Amino acid sequence: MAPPTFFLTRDAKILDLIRKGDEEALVMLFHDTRVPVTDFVLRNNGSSDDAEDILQEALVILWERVRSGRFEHAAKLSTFVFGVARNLWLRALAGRKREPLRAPDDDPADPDDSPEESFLRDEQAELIRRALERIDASCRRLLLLFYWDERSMEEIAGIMGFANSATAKSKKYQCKKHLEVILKSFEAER
Amino acid sequence: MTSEHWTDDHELVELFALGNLRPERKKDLEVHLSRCDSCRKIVDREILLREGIRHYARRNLKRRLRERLGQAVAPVIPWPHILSAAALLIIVVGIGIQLEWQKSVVPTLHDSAVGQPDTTRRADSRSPERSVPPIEELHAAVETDREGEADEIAGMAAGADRQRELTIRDASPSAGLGESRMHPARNILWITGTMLKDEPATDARAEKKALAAGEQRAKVQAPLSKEFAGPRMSASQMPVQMLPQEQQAGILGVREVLTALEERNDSLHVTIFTDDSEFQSQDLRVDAVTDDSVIVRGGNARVGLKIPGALKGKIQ
Repeated sequence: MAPPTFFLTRDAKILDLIRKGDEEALVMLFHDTRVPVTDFVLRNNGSSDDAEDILQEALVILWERVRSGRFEHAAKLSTFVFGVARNLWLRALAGRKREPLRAPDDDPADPDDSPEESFLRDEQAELIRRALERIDASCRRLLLLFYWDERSMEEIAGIMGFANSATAKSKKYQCKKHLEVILKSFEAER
Repeated sequence: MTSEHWTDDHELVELFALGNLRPERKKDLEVHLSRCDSCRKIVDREILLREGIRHYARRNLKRRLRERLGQAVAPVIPWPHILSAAALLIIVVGIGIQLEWQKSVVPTLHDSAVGQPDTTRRADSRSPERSVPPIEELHAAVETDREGEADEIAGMAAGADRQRELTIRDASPSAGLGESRMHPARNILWITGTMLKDEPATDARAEKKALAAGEQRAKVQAPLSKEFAGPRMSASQMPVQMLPQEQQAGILGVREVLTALEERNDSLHVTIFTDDSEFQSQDLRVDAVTDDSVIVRGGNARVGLKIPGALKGKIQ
C-alpha cells in the first residue's frame, strides 16, 4: 500500500492533481479565485456570468500549461489564475471596443501563447469536433494526449498500453488519417 | 532528409505545429515555407488540426468543470442586485396582497336579494323565507373601482339629547376610512353604518333636528317621514354570515353594521347585514332621510347610514 502523500502547500497538491489528470484540482482553484475574479470583472463592466466564464477559461489555460509542461511555478496558483483571468477580461473588453490590447511580453499570465488560435474559425472547430466524435474512443484519446497534453510517444505508449512508442506512432498515424477522411467528407458536404 | 520538401516528413510537421523545434531550426523551415505554397498548406492543415483538437478538449473540460461546479457553487450576486431584487419582490408581493384583499372584500349582491320591485321588496324583506344570495355568490369578488366617487364620510352626531352618534364610513377595509367604493356595473356601494339601539324619535321634526345637529352640512331636502320608503327606496336585512369571512372579520365594532346600497334603475335598495336580535327584518323600513343620510329601522333597532355623494341626488 502506497504511503499517503503530504504536500507542503495547497498549490503543490493542486499541481500534483492536475498532472495526474484529476479535475477536482480546478474546482479547488475555482473556489480560491472566484471572489477576486468576480470583483474585478464586476468592477470592469462585466457580469457575474462573464466572471465565471473568464475564470473557467483561465483554469483551462492553467490546466493546459501544467499538463504540457509549460507552466513555470513562479507565483501562487491563485495569483496566476487571477492574472490570466484579468488579461482575458481586458482583452475581451478591448475586443468589444475594437481597441488593441496586449499584456506585457514578460507577463507569465498572458494567455496569448497560441497565436494560431484565431487560425481556427468556428465552423472549422465544429467540423473537427464532429469528426472527433465520429472516430473511435481510443483514437480520440490518443490524439488528445498528443495534441493537447503534448505527451511523447513513449508516454502515450505507456498510458495506452501499447507495446512501444513505434506502435503508438503507427496508431497515431492511422487515427490522423481516419480523422482526415471524416473531416474531408464533412468539408465536401459544405 | 532526402525529400525536396521538409513537409513530406509528417513528424517534422507535427513538431513544427506543436512548436517543439529549436528556434534556429524553426527559422530554417519557415524560410522554405515562404517559398513553397503547397508546404504552407500542409503546415496550416496540421495547425488547424491541432487547434481543432485543443478546442474540442478545452470545450469538454469547461463543460465538465461547469458540471462539477454546478453541484457545488452558488452564484455570486452583487449586493446591489440582491437589494434591487428584494425591493422588487416586496413591491410585487404587496401589490398581490392588495389586489387579493380588494377582490375578497366586496362581494356581489345577488339580484334576487335586493332587486325585487319596490312595492314587494319590503314584503320580501319581511318574509322569513325571502330569497337570499347563496354564500358562494356572495364570495364572488367584485372588482372595486376607484373612479367611484370618494365621499367624505365623517362622523355624524345625531342629536345630543339622544346621544345618537351616527358614524358612517366606508366598509371596504382596503379603501381606508373616509372613502367609499362603488361597483360601477352593479352600482353596489358598501358602507358601514352604526346600529342605533335607542328608541327612535317619535316625530319627524325631532329626527330632522337630531340629524341636522350632528351634521351641519346635512341639508334636509325631503320631509323626514316613517312613511318614506316608497318607490325610490327600500331595505332588506341579511345575516352577517352571508358575508365573506374577510368582511365579517372586518366588522369589529359592536355597533358597526355593514350595509350594501344598490342602485337599481331609479331606486335605491339598502341591504343591512346584521345578526343583532333587536334588528328585526320583519319590521324593516326606511326611517328617515336627509340629502346625505338615511336611517333604516328594523324593530326597535335602527341603523344610521351616511349616503355617499354618488347617490345623494337620487334620494328623495
